[in-house]
Amino acid sequence: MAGYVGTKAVLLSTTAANVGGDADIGGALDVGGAFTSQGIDDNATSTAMTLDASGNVGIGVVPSAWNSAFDAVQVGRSTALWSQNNYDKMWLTTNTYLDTAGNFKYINSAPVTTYNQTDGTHQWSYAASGTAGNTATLTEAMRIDAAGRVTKPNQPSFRAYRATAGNVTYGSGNIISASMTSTNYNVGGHYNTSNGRFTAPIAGRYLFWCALYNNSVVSGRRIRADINGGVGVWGQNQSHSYSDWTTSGIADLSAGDYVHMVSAYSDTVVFHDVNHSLWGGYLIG
Amino acid sequence: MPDITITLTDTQLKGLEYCALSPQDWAENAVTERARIANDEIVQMYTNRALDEGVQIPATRELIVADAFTRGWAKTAAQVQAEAEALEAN
Repeated sequence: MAGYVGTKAVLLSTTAANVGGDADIGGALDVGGAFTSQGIDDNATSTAMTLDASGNVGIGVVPSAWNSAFDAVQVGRSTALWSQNNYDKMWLTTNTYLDTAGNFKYINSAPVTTYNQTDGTHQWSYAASGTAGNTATLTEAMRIDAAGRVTKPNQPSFRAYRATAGNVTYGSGNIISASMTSTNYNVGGHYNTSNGRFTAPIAGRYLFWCALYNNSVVSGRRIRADINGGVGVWGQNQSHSYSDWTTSGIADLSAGDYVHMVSAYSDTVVFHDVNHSLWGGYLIG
Repeated sequence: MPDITITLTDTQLKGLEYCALSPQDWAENAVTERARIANDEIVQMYTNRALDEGVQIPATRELIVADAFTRGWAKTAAQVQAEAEALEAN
């Protein structure tokens, strides 16, 4: 071994050498036998850390076969911190790695969660549980863009209407929303267009609203939004003939609770079409 | 068609009667809606995969769901869990 001990160049050619102080090695270091230290030790009974030929580090695990455009520190069973080596982009992920073909792969047979930062944007994504080694398809859960705007594209929400224009007369207790079988959007599919019910997928606080055209001849007609058929979201909303029922309400729902819109009295006439009568809901949180 | 029977205590029934006009309707809605959402996911998954692999798509949603399980493209939650546990054991 050629190098320096302190400031003095030395050539160590004996079968054993001990350096008691600091050692600066200016040239190459070839270790033919065992290498031990207080920090990194190749005499351990198992591998504590791996630095592979691609520059990826695995702590407590051998790094996966990462895409060469990224450098990764993989920790334990499935966590990784990685970044693109020619771009300002970082990822913090659980149970996935980016393979040589640029696909996200499951590390274990479990769900995937990811967080990444790119160009000032924060993005959270997920994939349902899949088989280890298979490709994971990520779905964006939430994003904060570079301007600080938050979007949650999979937040349950819907807006429903009746596609066929015209009056529909409802009796007392009739379900108005059952007529509203079309949707502008129905994120998660939790609004059932067959029966006009929104069923809460998870417990939380939900906002419901409506704008219905009241084409009733009789005044004093009222509408309700009932939870599980009985408890109102906004009480009873009344409007004059030939005006609108426009109201909203917030309700705490448990998973499985449902909401639909009901006529409180007989002879309630709603003029339906996509521009006149709508109702919707949204999971606030 | 299969039946799912749930037995409640009187207290549990009182709780449901407190929050729902009809406990029977609430239970039926919760179960059938969850099944509908799951079947929507299966149909979507099956359709995408069938198009990718050139498999003829069955004519009805019921046939699609049945074929998804026959082909192993959809698995029961119990199957998925058992397979994951088997992999963990290796």
